Amino acid sequence: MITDERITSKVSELMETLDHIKKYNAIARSLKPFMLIIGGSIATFLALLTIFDIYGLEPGPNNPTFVGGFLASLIPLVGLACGMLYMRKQVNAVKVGDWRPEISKGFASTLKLLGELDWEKTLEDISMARFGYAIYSLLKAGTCLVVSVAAFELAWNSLTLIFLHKSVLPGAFFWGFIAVLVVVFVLGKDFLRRYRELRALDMLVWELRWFSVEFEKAEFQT
Amino acid sequence: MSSSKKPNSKLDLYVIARIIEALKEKKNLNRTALATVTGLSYDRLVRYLSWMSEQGFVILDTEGIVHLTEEGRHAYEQLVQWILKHIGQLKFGRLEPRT
Repeated sequence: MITDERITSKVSELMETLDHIKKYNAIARSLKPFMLIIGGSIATFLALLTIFDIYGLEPGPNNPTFVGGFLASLIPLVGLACGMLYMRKQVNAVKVGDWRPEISKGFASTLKLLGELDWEKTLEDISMARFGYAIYSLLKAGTCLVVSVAAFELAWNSLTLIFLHKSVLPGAFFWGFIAVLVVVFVLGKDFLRRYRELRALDMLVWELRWFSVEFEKAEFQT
Repeated sequence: MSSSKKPNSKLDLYVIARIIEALKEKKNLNRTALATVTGLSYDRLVRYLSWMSEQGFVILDTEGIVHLTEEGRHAYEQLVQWILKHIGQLKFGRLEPRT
């Protein structure tokens, strides 16, 4: 029946959306380990730079410090890659689609799925997902910024050492500014998409709040 | 729901819909067969049938066969339309978490 199919299709859409919420929540739950990985890599990078600075090790192409500096600059990048891989693993581990066999049974089964949903918890989950995703996006952008600063400094340092045989550093502020421009240029679309997702999550809370109130009123009328 | 003799404190729409769907599909069934088809315990089914009979959705004849009435059919269609109307208004944005 066409009506049944339309309901099934719409409920499928709802359940798929809720599956996505599970994935967002996996991101929110994994924020702590992610922050540890990222924070650890940046702290290690800064500690190494401080050590080089304290011991006054002059960078130079033939100096082991140069190689050390190069390797140290890779640490935040490796940290970011590991953090993202960890997140991906957590998201991929989320079990989704367990409602599919039920929904294929028809209208009554869609009622069962809707009736079994804990709406309050679902709404809380969406809010948590939204918060977690926003924090994750900010952390990721921040780490990209640190990686960019490190990469630019390293590249500039290498060039000046090779061609001028001395280190000429314009300063962290300059590289910070350049890194912001590059990050905004490279990740601009990604930021926009993430912002739209956060808006969609916001709207979803309102939509589902309304539907859950209405669904409570559903009954067989004589 | 206005009736005081609900099968449970909370009326399960799914169970009623399942009973009506089974009766629509298999036409007339006795209670044991209906319990098997719907996956309900016999006692639970009897409680639901009692309520549905009160509402005029089903009729139990003298041989214990359950018949779906026009009213039952109509109530089912109304609920389908009601759900479609409400769920049809939901809009889901494009969500695909990226890591």
